[in-house]
Amino acid sequence: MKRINSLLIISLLLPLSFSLNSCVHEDEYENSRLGNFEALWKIMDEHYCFFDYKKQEICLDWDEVHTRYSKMVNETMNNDQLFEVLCKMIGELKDGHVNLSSPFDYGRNWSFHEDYPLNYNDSIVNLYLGHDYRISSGLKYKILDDNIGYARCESFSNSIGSGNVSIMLEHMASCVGVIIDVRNNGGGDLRNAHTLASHFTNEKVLTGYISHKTGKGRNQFSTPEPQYLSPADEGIRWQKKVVVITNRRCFSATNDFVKCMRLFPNVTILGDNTGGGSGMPFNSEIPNGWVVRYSSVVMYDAEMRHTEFGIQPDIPLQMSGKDTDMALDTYIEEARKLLSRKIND
Amino acid sequence: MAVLLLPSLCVYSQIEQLTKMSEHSLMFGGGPANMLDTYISPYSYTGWGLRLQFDTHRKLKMMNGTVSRYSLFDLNGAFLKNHNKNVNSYGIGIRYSMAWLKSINTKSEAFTFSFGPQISGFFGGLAVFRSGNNPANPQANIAIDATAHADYSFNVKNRKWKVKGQLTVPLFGAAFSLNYGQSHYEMFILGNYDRNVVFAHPFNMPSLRYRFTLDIPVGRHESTFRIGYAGQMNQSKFNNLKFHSYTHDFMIGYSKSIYKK
Repeated sequence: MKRINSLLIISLLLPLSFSLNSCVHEDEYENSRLGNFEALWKIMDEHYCFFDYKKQEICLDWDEVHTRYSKMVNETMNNDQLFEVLCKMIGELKDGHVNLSSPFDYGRNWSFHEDYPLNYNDSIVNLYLGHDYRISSGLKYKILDDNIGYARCESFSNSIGSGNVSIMLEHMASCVGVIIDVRNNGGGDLRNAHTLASHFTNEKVLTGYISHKTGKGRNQFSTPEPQYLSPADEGIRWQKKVVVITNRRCFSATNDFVKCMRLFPNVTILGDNTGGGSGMPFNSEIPNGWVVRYSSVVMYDAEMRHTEFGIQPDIPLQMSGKDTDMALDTYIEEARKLLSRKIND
Repeated sequence: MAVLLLPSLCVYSQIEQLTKMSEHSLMFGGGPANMLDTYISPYSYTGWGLRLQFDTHRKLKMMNGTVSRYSLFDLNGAFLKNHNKNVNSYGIGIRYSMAWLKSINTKSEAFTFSFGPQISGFFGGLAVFRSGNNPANPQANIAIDATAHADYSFNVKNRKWKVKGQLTVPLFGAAFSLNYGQSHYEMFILGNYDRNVVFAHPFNMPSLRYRFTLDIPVGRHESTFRIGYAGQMNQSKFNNLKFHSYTHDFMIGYSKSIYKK
């Protein structure tokens, strides 16, 4: 019994002594100009998921970025100046999901759409919708004069249910085809994008792969897991032709929606490249309290290709100034022609 | 050794009807809290927390009455902020533990010492609702702990006061943790498993829980007013993620002893 007692006491004392000497903590940078700079660089260095891809595509060298920008930081800078330098540094990543939030500004690199034509005119689109369009779960829809359904999806932030999509498709049941206009849709919840897409396939489809960082190393990633999209369990599955209209502002979850839709045989993507944004963003912070957002999870397409810099449409098109002058939307008009032609064929 | 002892102890727990005496206490308190979860932020969050503890200590007949069973339900919540006080976070922890304690003959009626194995289950974590993809890393574990209790009784104006100390150290078990950059979407929507259940031991979960109380008799001799301090140092290093929760709570409550024939 004494031996058992001794063993039990040792089993208590050994881990006790270890626990007392083992504080789990993270090294913290001080809240100075240089401290904030180093903290931001390190967060990105240890968590950002596209270093290899960006090195290949835009010759990004994150270590060189540190060398170059650290020279611009000194303790006499004011907050505005520090913010400007930090935003320029993370802007080197050319990622719309990388942002720095302060009380006075929102740092971003939106060159994915700012450097390109908008290819969207809200006033003209409103002319197509008129005043008698329907709204269901954020989807605005109506049947155009040539019996083509038109659905405008401005965001995937609002919850989209299968029931709502089915009601819309049922309303358009007699149409020759449907146009899904996702221009200027900056994303939202992936689940909403997938719910909408699930009404346009009859089969479970491999849509891509997903992988996350597993450690601080720039190459530490989990094994890519396949992602599938199953047909909607309930409601209507659209069997006719579909044209999805895109522009450079189709970002994040909308990029993923287009990535799925382009795999379906009866779907045509028309317009400009999407904006990309295939990383899933995480949030963190630097010592002065500014919040940083960065891509942490990589989502590939079905061929294991990145879509971070966007997806090319099946039919590339630019808005025509002549059409705009006549209050016509080149994309919608082309989609109508395409659907009419397909039904005639 | 703790594991070897458990099956035999469980058998003896069936003769609970022969229990001679039990003590129940309910305590409530609060104090400062410091939490870190590198899944959310590389910086510690500090603030204040509240804690509720309900425990039962029951003597068993086994080993000539030298073994007792102790169970503790522990609930705590904390409201915390980052260094700059511009981000709020919320900490929560729920733990249930059950220990079998063997008394040692101290040759003193005033001082008693007991120790033994304990099974505990925990669920909790720190949450910052600024991102839907990494709002929190839920912490959960089931562990075999080693625990020790020491009591010292003394008389004040012919009433029996008691000082009690408790110390618990987790030995090993299984713990749940998200992976380093794994999103909630991958884990909870897609169900993609990535080493989310890990073997926990003192090197990756060096933790410590302790409590000191003073029982002051009030009214009839079965009841005491109880004040105390409960400290917890819960830590882990799983999947390259670091977590700590340090809490110091000042507790008040009461305890009641029940005697049975």
